[in-house]
Amino acid sequence: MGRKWILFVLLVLLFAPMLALAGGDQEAAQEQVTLQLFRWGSGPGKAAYDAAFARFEMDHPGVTVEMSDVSWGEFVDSMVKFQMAESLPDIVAQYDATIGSFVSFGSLLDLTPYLPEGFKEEFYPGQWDHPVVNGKPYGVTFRNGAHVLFYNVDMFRDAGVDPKGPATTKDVVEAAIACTVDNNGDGTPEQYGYMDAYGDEEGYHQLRSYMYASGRNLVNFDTMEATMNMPEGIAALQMLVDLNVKHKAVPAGALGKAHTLRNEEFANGLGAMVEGGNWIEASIRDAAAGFEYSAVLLPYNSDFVDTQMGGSAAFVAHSVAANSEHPELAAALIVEQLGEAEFIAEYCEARNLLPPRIDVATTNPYWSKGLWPVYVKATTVPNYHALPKHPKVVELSKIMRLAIEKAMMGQATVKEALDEAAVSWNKIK
Amino acid sequence: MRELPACAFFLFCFILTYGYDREMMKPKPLRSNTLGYIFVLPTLLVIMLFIGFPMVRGINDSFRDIELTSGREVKYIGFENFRNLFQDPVFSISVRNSFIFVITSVSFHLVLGFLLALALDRSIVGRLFFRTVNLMPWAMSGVAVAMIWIWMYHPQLSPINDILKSLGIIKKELVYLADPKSAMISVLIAHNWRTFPFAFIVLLSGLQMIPGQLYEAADIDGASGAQKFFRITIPQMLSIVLTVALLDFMWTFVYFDLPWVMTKGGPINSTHLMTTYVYEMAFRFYKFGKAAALSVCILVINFIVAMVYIYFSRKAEAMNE
Repeated sequence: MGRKWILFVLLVLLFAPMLALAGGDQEAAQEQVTLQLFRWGSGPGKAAYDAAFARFEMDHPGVTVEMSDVSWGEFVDSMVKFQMAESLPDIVAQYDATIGSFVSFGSLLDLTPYLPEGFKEEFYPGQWDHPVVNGKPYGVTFRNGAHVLFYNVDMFRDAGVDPKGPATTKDVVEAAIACTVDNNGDGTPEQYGYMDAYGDEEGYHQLRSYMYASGRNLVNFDTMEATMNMPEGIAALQMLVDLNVKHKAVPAGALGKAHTLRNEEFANGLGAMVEGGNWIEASIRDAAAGFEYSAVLLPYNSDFVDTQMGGSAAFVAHSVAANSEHPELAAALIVEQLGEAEFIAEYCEARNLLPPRIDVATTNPYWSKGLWPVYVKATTVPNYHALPKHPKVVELSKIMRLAIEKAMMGQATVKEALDEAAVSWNKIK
Repeated sequence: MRELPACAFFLFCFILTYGYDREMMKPKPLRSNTLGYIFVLPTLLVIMLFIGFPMVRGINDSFRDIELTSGREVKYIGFENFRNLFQDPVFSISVRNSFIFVITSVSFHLVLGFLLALALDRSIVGRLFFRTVNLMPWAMSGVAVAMIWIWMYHPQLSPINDILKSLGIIKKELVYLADPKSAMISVLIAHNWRTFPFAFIVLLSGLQMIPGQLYEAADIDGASGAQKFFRITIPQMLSIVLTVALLDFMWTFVYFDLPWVMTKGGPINSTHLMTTYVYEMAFRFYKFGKAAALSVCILVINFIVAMVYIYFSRKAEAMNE
């Protein structure tokens, strides 16, 4: 008898929770939809997301939006893991190094059916085109960056260099030499003319930036054939090699430094110039060195063109995952909130980034102050490029990194290194 | 990844041990062993699920064409991945680098570990403090150690450069991680700083297990310090040294985090190991089939080392009997 009571109690305890769940409000439970948004980064800008989610949830009762983010370094790994498990979150951030790959995987949704009439025209054409692959929009750009050349105006003045900033690559080299100062003659300058770094995959960005400024891409965006070994590419890499090796205007060890380090070194007054995205201005402004700085469009090579021809972009877009169970809702979140002026203005202002929407950039006074007109101009030049939208674009960065390393170490001439890079790329494209 | 060679090692040990032991191979009444099987079952299930299944899956993938960015369907291609791998110049660089990395590390661990173990086996003031301090690098994560050493090696901010300059040893700053000639040595120093404590602690334990009577008897016979070291300490420590060396080899061979964080295989692939190349191929280039083939190569190498260990340990057992 005692054992039967024990068995009875055990059975009640086992089944009671199930009965409670069954008796619950199942209808309401079924209507609850949770959208997942996955991105990298944290800190400033999260408030903009929270506000956008709150507005969306109010307009769509029963829908909750949850966001998860990782550090930038983990983002691609996480996305690959999601891809292998075929369980990408409903909305994912995409940028130039990932959009081509994930479109080729079939992971992202073509947003054409979900975009209202006239939506595209609210964006700068070049910035709208960033997540467009094979003519179809696989995302909506919500932030952008422009690569410019920052320079230390104080150092320029002290060295007798025009404080308006360099316009051509020849100006860059002359300014870098003039600003490299070794006061005590020990062979180690106290101040350098140019900050440089190639120790990670992003290190070759400035090579492509200088190429774009001179009217040439790393690859032909239509045929994907390699063009990095064209004269513009050779001249761009030769300039960087000369700055490092011949003129010693760059701190030693550039091959071993992450590209973010050169930004910090510039911000701390170690050197006179650095090529970088406009987002580094915040760290320059906040740095202890407290010097007067300015920025110009990326200098062009006057041997090839008469004016600056293009800039290098760093867009980020929101995309909808093809495996999303609620693609209409996910697309609606992007169209109604994350692609709208209110979110973009709040987010880009908090993160010191360029808004891709024309109305935000032209009417919000934030983007008319300081160096913003330079950045906005950089995004409206004719050839404003991101990376080629090719699934193997990450291998391209490895190929370029190897070419730069060989040229810097003297293991190959610049032409040999870029010819080898072109052969490698054409073999795998 | 660390568990793969260990699992292979123990599996092989089991097969070879019980293959020799005819007594153990005789069937026994099931009932007497049932409880033992039940206790072992959960662990076996976990091992099969988290080690066995991924290993089999990885070996399987090494014979398939899995390249996410190619647009091709996944299909069986036999040994094609291995053929491509053996023709890949970066593969041969990574194999060479891996062996340099492992052999240098193991040698350093054994020599330094042994010397420190000998020094701290005595009763000296602060023995506990020194033992603790020696273990501290081992407690730190590889990534944290990598970040510390990246700053130690910063050409302009490096304290090492400052010290060397102030001593007049160098005139110009050294660029540790930016030069292919010095990058591997720099990574090795950082790696060995973190990992030598394992050898130290095991060798110290081994020294402490040597019966004191052997040394007392040697003292009575008038043996010198060197004679005691070469005639007692070394022979007694041989099997432990061999165990440490082979385990260290297998673990170092699959080491990944510190080299990847410090250099990502550069400059010019001078620090690319087989493990970093596996990672790059899988998670940067999405070539999972080729990455799996490279992982199988790592497994085979560690398997061979495990067999070597088993052969020598059986020989040692036979000699002791």
